[in-house]
Amino acid sequence: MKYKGFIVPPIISDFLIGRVWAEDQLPKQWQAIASQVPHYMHLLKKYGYVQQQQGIRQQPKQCMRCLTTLQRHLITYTLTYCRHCLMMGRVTSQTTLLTYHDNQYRFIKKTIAQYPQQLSEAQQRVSQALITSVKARQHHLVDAVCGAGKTEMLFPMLDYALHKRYRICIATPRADVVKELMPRLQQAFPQRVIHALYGDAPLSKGCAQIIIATTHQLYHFENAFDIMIVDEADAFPFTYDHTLQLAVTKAKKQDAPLIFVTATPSKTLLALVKKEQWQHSKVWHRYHQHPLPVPRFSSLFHYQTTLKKRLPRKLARWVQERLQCCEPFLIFFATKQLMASSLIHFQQLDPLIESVHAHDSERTHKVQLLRDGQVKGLLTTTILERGITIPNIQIAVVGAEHTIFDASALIQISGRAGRHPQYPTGDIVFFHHGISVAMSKARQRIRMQNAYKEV
Amino acid sequence: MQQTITHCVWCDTKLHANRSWQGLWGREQRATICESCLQQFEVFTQPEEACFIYNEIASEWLQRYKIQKDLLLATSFTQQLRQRLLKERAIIVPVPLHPLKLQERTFAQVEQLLIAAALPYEEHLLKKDNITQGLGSRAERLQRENPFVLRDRTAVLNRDFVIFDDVCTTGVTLQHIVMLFKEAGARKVTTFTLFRSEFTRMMYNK
Ligand SMILES: [Zn+2]
Ligand SMILES: [Zn+2]
Repeated sequence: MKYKGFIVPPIISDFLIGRVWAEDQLPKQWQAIASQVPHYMHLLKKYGYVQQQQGIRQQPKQCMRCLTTLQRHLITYTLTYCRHCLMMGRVTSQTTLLTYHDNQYRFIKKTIAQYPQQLSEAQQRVSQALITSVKARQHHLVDAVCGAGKTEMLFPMLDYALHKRYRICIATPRADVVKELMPRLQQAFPQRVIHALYGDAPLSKGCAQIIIATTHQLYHFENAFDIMIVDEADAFPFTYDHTLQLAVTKAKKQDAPLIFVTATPSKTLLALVKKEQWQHSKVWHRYHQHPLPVPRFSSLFHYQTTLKKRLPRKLARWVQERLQCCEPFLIFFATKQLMASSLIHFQQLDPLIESVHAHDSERTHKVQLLRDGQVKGLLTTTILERGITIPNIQIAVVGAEHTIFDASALIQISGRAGRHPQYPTGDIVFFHHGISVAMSKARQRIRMQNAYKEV
Repeated sequence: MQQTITHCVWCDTKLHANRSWQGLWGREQRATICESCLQQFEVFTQPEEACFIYNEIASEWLQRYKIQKDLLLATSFTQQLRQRLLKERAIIVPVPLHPLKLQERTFAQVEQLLIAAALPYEEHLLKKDNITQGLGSRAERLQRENPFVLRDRTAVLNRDFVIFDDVCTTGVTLQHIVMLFKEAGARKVTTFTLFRSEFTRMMYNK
């Protein structure tokens, strides 16, 4: 920061740069200097480093943090508050939102990078294309199957961008993916400040050059990033939440390139890519060159009624086979209720079968137990459809026709199998009460990807 | 709050407009929480004492209502509250917040539940400042440590009351209040809460 007769403690500036933040929700880390904060805030405002705006704009009403304009999100009593971004602390018409911009801020230039240099031919081709796009500030879609090694493809481009002193955001819909990416990136770029942001993440020190965040955390940023990478761009809730798309646009600098990475691009996304002439890379085979395992369908009529009393025979047989072969398995359920009530029947086959769901505080631990072989199989809601990699995992979906399993969810679920080069195959069964369109679509797409040969 | 509610206040999915005949006659308020969300709240075993069991989702609900200050949630259980309190002949008295707390929260959470359900009530209580611990007999201490006072002791004489609070876990708060009313000469004093811990069985409540 330029000298203006005062120096702002880095603890304040490091945090505020690029953020849009409610003045009444100052971070806990500032408690040590709490008595001085008002003084510095006053100076920052006076010299124009910090801009202020009202939390909710009137006529038309809009939350200035998450940008929603929907009437049902903006509730008025003696004041107006936003329900849409409520979980990040309430913004009301009486809130002052602060934004801080410092164009003088410089990230360090030279550092070491320690990422695996051996990339497959396809990975190399994409990573070069990404560098070209970043140089040209062009948007880019990477359409890569599950297990293509997406993160590795990003490394050379990230390395280039970090040297250019760019600030980078990697946004993904799920906190699990954030937690999984964080150590990998920190290992690749050990001297860079990297922060992981999700619901209850602890705040780390310094001004992060790379921010890995759940998409909701983007509401907290404005005009902050030189590159915006959106991982799993198809996933809930990104597909149909308009405000999240606004948040992506708001968080990045105006001319910053967008990089979307997905295994299942939606039609809307593909249309947009075509219309706006984005760069487009395809990687339709896995880094170990084996084809994707194709799901098979197996009827399990009236499974909901049967599961109240016992395990349907086909399902029981499938589980027993897995247990005999000592193969770890995941069984997906459409609802938490159905899963919870069936667990006992599975545990009668083997007490070392567990279940996980979104609000399960033991989730990470249980997945680790499965990886270590201390748990033989996990029942799960869709929460584990992305991100997790366990060698030789076998997959079943109970009630694959349920509307919660759209084609992209089923492709992601199938993508858990056969990722490890030593176990490139794996059984994927969609147990169903009638075949849905989404099920056939998912299988069709996987077959198409397997048939595709790169030009 | 003037907004008409089209989406479940808890999970934000669109509500089906399944109006009952009572709805047509304007007697019943429309549900603002969807069926599958409502199912997660367990009905309390003694319906005259509380609507729901204070469980995990109830504490999540209270957290969002009181700590995150999501006032719209006040409409969640209007039907259940009306079912129990509409025919109540005793006077409903909401448990108040301390004025400073009210200022910070911007709304009186217990009162707002009654307002949302369009139920009549009277305010008889005030919450005091922090009480200083001290000497004295046990009765005196209990009296002194009672965080509530009556606004007007003469106003409660020979009348029936039902003290209404959002949640009852240990029962101490309600016990204090019931004592206060009885001492001032109230005739019959009962309590009712939205959520109640299953393990709280209170002696004074019948
Ligand atoms: Zn908002
Ligand atoms: Zn709901």
